[in-house]
Amino acid sequence: MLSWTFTGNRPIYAQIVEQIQLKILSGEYQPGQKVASIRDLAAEAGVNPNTMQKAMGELEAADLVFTQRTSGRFITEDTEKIAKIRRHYAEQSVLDFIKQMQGLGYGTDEMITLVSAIIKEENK
Amino acid sequence: MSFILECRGLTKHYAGRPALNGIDLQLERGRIIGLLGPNGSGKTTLIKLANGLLTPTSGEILIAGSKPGIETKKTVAYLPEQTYLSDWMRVRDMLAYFADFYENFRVDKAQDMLRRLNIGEGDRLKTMSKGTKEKVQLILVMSREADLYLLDEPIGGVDPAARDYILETIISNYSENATVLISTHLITDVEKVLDEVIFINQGSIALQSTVDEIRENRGTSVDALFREVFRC
Amino acid sequence: MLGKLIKYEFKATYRLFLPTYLGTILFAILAKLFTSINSLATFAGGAFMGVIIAIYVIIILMSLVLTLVLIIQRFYKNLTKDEGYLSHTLPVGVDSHIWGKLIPAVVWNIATTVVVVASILIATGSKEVFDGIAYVWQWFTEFFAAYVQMPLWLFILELCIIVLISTASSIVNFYSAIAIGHLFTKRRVLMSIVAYFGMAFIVSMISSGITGGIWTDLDYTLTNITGSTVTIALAIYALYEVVLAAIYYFITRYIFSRRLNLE
Repeated sequence: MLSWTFTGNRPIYAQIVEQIQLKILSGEYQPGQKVASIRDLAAEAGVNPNTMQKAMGELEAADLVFTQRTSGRFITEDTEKIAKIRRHYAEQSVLDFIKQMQGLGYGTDEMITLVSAIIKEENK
Repeated sequence: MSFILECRGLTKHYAGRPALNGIDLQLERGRIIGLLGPNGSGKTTLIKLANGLLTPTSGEILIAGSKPGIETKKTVAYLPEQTYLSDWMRVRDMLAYFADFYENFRVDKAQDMLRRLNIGEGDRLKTMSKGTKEKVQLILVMSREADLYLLDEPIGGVDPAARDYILETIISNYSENATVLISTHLITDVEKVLDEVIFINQGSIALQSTVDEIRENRGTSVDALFREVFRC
Repeated sequence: MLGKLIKYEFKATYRLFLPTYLGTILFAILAKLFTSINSLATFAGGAFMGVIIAIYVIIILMSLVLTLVLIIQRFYKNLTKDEGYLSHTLPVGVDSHIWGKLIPAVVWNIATTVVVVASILIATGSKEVFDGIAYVWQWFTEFFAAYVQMPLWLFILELCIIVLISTASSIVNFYSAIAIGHLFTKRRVLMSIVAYFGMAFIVSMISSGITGGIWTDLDYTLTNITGSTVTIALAIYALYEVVLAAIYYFITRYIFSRRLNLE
């Protein structure tokens, strides 16, 4: 289980939004799963309920979480949307990687070769 | 009155020395607010004034629009640094005491929390460790359905697990109608729990802001800002 | 609320008083038993008796001292030390706090006196002693009926009221000394003691001035004591005690409501 960690220089609600997105991507939160109450989540994450409320608000605005009036909050079942977000994070990681490698002087072909080689090693 | 706590030109002198200097302050309901400052900055004085344990030298302090008195004491829950439990009582006597004097005391809630911490109702307060007594006191205070909770250094000198428990209790106790004012100089642990912070120094307010504002606009944590503002 | 404070005050103190009372009475019974066994009474030339009596007197003194110490300590601890953080944040006025300590204190004070007197009677009780007491009482009622035009029961009632008022007055005197000591930031206990003797000094100065005047003004001879004279005299004394008590009370009340400063 991914535990909640926060850094100091960004608003916590923004970090919560990210971490919940990651939990959705990793499968810790399943599509359609019921979300715990704001208070319980806040207690679990060790944050102010108002902060958690704000984060939920953002997630709802992004359609990642929806509220059914009487039954509560649920993770979206829109797997396409989830896939889009996964893609977004993946692209971000790849772009960061490419930047780093370029900084080390690697060319495109070298990068691809290196990635394949290391994956092969890891799988042994 | 929409503000749960309001100070207007609040000043307090003790034996000549000014502890609070013309404080103007407004706290809204439904917030968890940190009162942050070095030792001797006036945090405890402000809290005692809100409790009616001190009377202002000049200016005024209002709880939901009223001066501190019998009526406000019904809706203000106070956790001082000191342990104020009577030696001769057992835990259940203390529960009965609170239930007797405070209409808004929830015995079931307190019993729940005591059970979770393995504190028996028959335990004598006299034989308890300091840490356990502090937990009992916290439980008693948080089991009151108050409009304003004043916690003076609730996590100072407490082990990390207890600290987590205390903060968790504060969070799960949250109500939109009530405000919790936490006075502390240990900011890192508490920061995530706070909506707003007030920096107080040498009897004056240096800053009042939401935590988000500080992080978004200044790009630092409250802890880092505190160190900057109160650099020795 | 006052009732609740009184309830808790009794709860906090009965564990100390009742066993002491029990001990005092038991020892009185023991003393009586030992002294009535003649062989013991003459043992070691009466030294044994002496020891019993000495222990017994010590126990009585201890009861009296304990009562006073406990009354003072309850007030001091519960209202000016750490417990004060709870007491003074209860939704209860300062008046209730003072009466909430004063009333149980008066009750315990009277109870201790009753127990001590009862134990003395038990320890020394014998037909001769009781006969003696009955004789003195008889003499007194006759004397009273002959020279004072006033029902005896009224006189006794008035005396009881005076005892009650002066007990309360002396207790709230201690309270005001504690309150005055509280005004200082250091050495509060010492300052309370100084305040107590300071007040005692002032009061004795004033009262000898006043009462000297009053007693000489009331002109009565032994043949002329009417009920109303007695009542007036007692009433004046009662008034004096009430005024003192009120002053002590207001000192205490003022300090606790406007000058409270818990450490």
